[in-house]
Amino acid sequence: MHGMSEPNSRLESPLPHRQEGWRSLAAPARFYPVAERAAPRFALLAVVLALAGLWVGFFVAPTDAQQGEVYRIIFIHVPAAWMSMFLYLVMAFWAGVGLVLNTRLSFLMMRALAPTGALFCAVALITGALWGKPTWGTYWVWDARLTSQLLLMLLYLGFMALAQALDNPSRGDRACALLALVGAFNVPVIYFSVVWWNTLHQGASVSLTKAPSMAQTMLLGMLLMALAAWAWSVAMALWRIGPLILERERNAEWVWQHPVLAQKETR
Amino acid sequence: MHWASWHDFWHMGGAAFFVWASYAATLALLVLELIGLRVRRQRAIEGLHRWKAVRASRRHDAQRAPVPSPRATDPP
Repeated sequence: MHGMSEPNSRLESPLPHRQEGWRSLAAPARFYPVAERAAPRFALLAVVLALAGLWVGFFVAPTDAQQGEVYRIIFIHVPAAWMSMFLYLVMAFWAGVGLVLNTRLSFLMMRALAPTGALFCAVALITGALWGKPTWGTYWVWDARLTSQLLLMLLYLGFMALAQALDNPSRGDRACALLALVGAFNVPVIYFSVVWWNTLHQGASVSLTKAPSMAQTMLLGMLLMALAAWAWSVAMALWRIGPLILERERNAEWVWQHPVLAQKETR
Repeated sequence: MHWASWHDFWHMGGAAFFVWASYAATLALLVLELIGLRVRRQRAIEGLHRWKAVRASRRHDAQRAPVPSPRATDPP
């Protein structure tokens, strides 16, 4: 007697015709090989974009009239901050999709994104502090931008701790989804903090509505690094979701027929 | 290109510590992330093999020594 559900004896579940196309990727068995194939490509794209961005940032962009060379931290700081905010919104998106459509893969993607978002959040805080010391005279100040970014870090860490703490998968999914959705309100606070409050942190140099107030080569370097960070995030999420899928789908036959488990030796 | 020399490049106009510490910290965290991915993957695979072995041994035990069914003379 064992309380396990019947294993799926088909290697690839044949889906009804109406579910063919991109929606078939909602099935973990279908998505897993796609993720494994795509991840290295996005990682390579990230490296190429980063090299291009660093080239522009260090050898094309000029010295800043006010800050000299220290401004070059911007090529990491801003892309990291953007990604930390964006990834939390993406987590909240998959949380919502999972809650509404009850698709477990959505929850797995939500979980897979968190560590990368936390990493970029930490990078933004650390590089921000290192940029603040020579320019503002301090590593830290409790202004609205920095404080709300620190709150984002705590939300990421809380999310990861919650995901780890809850053993029941569906309960964990739902609790984490709630944290992702509620915490997402912090992201527009971070974004508008420099508008709503008087902050030491400077206002937006790049906005969706106005022309950028920085040199074009600096902007180019920043955008290349932002794209690199995006590609990196995709690669990491796809690499991270693999083990999550295998563990969650361990009752399915396709998992045990897959080469990654068929070979007993691990390097 | 506007660096007069490699020395000027590393010097970063006096902000060398802050600029290079930023890039080094970022690189270190990214490397840690990659290592973490690898560890997580190996842990998942090992955990799955263990789970399968436990399940197989439980099934084996159940087949070898099945729970005896109650007899009419057993106390309720």
